[in-house]
Amino acid sequence: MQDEEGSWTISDSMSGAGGKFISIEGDAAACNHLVQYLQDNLPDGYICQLPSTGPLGQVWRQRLSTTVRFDPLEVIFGAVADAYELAERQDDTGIIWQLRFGHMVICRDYVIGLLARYAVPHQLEDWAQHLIAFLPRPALTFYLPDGLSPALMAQYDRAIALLDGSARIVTPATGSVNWAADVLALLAGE
Amino acid sequence: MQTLRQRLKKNVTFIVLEGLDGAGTSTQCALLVEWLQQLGHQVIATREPTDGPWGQQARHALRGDISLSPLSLAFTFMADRAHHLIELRERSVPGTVIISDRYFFSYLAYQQTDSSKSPEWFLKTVEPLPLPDLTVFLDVPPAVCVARMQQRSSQIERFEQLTMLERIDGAYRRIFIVYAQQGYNIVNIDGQPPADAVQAALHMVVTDCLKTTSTR
Repeated sequence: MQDEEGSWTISDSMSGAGGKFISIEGDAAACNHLVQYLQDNLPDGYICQLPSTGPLGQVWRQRLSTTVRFDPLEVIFGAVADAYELAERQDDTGIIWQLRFGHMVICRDYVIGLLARYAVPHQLEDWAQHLIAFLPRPALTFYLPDGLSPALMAQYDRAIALLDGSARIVTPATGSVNWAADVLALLAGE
Repeated sequence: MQTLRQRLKKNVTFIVLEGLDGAGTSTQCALLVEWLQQLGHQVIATREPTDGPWGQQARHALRGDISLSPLSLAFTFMADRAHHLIELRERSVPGTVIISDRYFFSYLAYQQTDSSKSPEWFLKTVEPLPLPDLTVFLDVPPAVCVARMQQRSSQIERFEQLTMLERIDGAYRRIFIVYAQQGYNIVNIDGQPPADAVQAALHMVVTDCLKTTSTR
């Protein structure tokens, strides 16, 4: 669907038009390994990440690198603004644009990471979920908890529980030698 | 959620002026700051978007230097607002009066011209933000606002502006009804008379507000 100005809208991705949306969440080293493997072995996939490489992602990275303690409201608003920017971008670097044209989109650190890594306070969880209501949802999420600290793992578990079964989550057995190849095989079947 | 809607700091008074483009909020804010300073108050004058990191990106987007989707821009404004509130909290001391040229009410009013999402959805997005002690709506008919803007710039396209301002004006009024029903202090002042007359009306409501906040 195009709006009056000819822009792709969020409802495009909700309608299931075209491609498949996958997210990768969890331990940074494991995510790096999997993303690199998929980049090398999945030529048709479009790989992106949050914070994005766009203008808001740049602000976000700069804030993360220079600010010790954030107000939770700035954390959530900034992360959500960046996520919508990446999703709705009107060129081939946008998630919805890619999905619209039938591509597989793989996003490293998406909604679960947003809720978990920035430790959304309990009293803001419902509100944070409300803000992300119009973001495209991954059809499948690879969750890589091995290597996360117990505290961060608890936050990830809480974020996953918050999505309340609406996300299809797979936890690959990262202990095996060829686990990334197993993930690729699973993706091929999607 | 209610606990997050605390005032910025005890004994700090937070006053917001809202109005359509051309309603005179900037002029009235400047006059109000001057008057309060003459009375001996410590005053912080503020406006949005700020010059902070998120505010700069919002300005770039408004100028067309970068492209942001409507929701992305809306939440960039909110991140700027949240960042700004931290700064205000740090800069204020007991007795400080913060005067803000617009706040999230204008965000809500402008967003409600986007009919693809419900007004209730946008109202919930601002739920954790602190509410002002006093919000003044400078009430000026959209046609008068457009005429004032045309005096400042011949680039204003009258019909387009008028239609848009009428929609925003309606949205403002609906929003204020919601907040007034919840007991928040929202005052409507006629913004059509000369600036000094509007300012005099403003002094009365601000004086009442300061009496209330100084005794809490």
